[in-house]
Amino acid sequence: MFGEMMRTQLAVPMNNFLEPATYEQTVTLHGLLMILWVMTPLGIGLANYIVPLQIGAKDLAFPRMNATSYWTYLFSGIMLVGTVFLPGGGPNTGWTLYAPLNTIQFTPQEGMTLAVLALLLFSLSVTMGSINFLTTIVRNRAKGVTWRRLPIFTWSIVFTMALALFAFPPLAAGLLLLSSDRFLGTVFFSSTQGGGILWDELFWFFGHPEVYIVVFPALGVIAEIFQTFAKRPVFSRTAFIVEFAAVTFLSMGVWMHHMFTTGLNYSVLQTFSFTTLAISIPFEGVVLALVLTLYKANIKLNTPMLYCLGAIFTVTLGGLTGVLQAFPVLDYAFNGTYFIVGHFHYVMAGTTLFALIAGLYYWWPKITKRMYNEIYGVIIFFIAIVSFNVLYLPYFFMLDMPRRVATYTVASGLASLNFTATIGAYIFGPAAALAILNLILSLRKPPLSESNPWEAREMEWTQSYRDPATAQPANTTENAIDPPDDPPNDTRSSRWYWCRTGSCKKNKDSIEQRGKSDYLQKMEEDKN
Amino acid sequence: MTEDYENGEEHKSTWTPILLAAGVAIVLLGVVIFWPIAVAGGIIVVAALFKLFKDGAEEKFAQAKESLEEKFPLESINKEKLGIWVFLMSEILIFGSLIIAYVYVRLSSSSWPVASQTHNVILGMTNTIILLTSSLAMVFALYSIRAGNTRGLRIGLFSTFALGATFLIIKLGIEWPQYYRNGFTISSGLPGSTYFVLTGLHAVHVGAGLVAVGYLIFRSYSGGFTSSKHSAVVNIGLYWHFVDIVWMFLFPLFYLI
Repeated sequence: MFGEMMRTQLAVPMNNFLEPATYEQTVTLHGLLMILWVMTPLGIGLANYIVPLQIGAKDLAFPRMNATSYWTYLFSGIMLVGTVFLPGGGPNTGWTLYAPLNTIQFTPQEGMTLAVLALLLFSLSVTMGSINFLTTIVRNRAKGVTWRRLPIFTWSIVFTMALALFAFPPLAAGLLLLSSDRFLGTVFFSSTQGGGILWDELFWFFGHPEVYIVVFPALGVIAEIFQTFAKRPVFSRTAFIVEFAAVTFLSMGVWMHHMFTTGLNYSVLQTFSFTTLAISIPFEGVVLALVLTLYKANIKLNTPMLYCLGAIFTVTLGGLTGVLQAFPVLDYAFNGTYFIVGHFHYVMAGTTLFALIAGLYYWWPKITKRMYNEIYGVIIFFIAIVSFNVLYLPYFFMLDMPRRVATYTVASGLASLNFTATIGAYIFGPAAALAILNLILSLRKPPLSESNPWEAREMEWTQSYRDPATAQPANTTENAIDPPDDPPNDTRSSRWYWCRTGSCKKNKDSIEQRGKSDYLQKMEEDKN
Repeated sequence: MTEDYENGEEHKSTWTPILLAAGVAIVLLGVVIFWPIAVAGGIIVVAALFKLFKDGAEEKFAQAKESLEEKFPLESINKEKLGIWVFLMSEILIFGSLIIAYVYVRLSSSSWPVASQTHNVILGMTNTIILLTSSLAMVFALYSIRAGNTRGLRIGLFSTFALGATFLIIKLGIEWPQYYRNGFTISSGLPGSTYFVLTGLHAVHVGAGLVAVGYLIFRSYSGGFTSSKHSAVVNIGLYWHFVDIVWMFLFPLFYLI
């Protein structure tokens, strides 16, 4: 919504739809809300439903803490949005809240202080969530769900939560220092010895992993959907997970590439340029594995699959434009331009939003037992992907346009690009809303008779543990505590779709059949 | 409880998390806008916490016995203990970031007062010894209840509480007023800012630890612990030792160098 307001302002040069001061607040709230209060929890919310099913747990390890985490998140969001109603308005520093602009000297309004506290509350909520998920996944897996058999989406949540656990406390530390600056009169960010660089370090140590916190669940969703709709396991599964782990590890060592232009010394520049290039290798590996999963597969093009393909397209474009910025020289050129804005909207808005919408569509029949309207879903997808590109592709050509500035002159020659982008925004926003509406409307339909409409083979589909109708009586659970000799087909254990154990012959046969894809059949026919 | 849960009956204290979260939000709102609002929020938080502890004490430990995959690497660690460890990891990150921020501003400052000029090393040393001893008392409490000795548990917990409280009294009651009289205050520059924020946050942690130990004492009287059921003592003990270890870093960083 804030995004639409900004695009309206930028549609024509020297527009007066928003005052510059209001525009600054809009930029800030758009950034904070979308990155932290929408993108991050969207993945975690899906995980909240899916992860326990995928590992055969009843619930998260600490249900009460889970509830506290959710409500903390909700109230912190209300606090942040509420800042606009305070006298003096909300935060207007951009989502990065750079020092010393964030100190009371430059942003004296109460809305800014409240926003800082809302962020602090939010990081508390995420920390509770990550403690909960990590404990659950380590400790509450059902018998048979070993680390090797852990579904990809759950793996992606493991890495997401590990990153959240490491990334949010430094942010909280920075926010603590900032709020003590604003309340108690300390001088961390107003002094020259601390100041901007101290905030930068703390903020971006959080900020870069945050990108992966947002993107990882999306990649996990894509992997799950590719497996189901291409009817084969993800390409080189072990390597895929190792690459995930490598990205997780490296993402904690690249934060300074957000600070290339702050006058770091040369060796630091080199180191972080190197780590940034290094992280792109496993990340491309992840994307490549996803693409190779589809190679010569028999793909069903349902709505979730289409959204995933869209996400792969945007992550490729967004990722490539990101690699360019690993070079400090280019970074100097791109710093603060719409090229950067285009880059991170492709990665975060494009990839994550498409993939998570895909996840919603994919698991919707599981969660609600209703099937959405396929035709509408496909139509809306095509509108969304086209308008998304109409919206953000021009950004890559707006190299001369500085970010976060409320308007531009006619002479800059940016009018047509901006106008195009605004048209894209007007279509993309409603399209995203329609995509959700399509899901909600399906609630009026009668329930599905089949519990696994996609013929997926992951545990959350094959086990109907949560269904009230088919829930096993409690004593079955009791019996399962000490199974005589760990029967691989016991109801609680994961019947793994690749069947490494070789004990589920049925699946093994079907894998062999699947192996004989069109390609192999054609070869055989040629031979004959 | 297991069956209630599966039959979809209401979970105990469904409303407490909402109250807790709303209370915290109201406190923060009040701090910014109008302080009486914060007081109201504080009352909500305390009430919610009290309810939470009460429910926790009343629960019959009839958690669902699920058949779990637990080969590697944590056979003997229950989920509460693992949760505490993960929580402590995030705490390490917070204190680690703050300590690094302190080192950063100190290194980038051209001059920094000598520790003995601004800090009372004797009081700091006394507090260090007190806090270390409180950890010992905590261990004593744990070993007593392992042997089924409830009286030893109480003695240990009371000593921990008393020592922790003494630490706070010396710090907040004697040491800080002394510094303020000497003109070494939270807003007197980076040395003051770093010192008061870091040790202040540590003091808040000690305070939270005191509340937790108080809860243990309360439960030890209502017969909550036996030699086989005392995971709360273990977990709160872990937290207490962690707070102790943080002080082991803060003391030399601020008082000695």
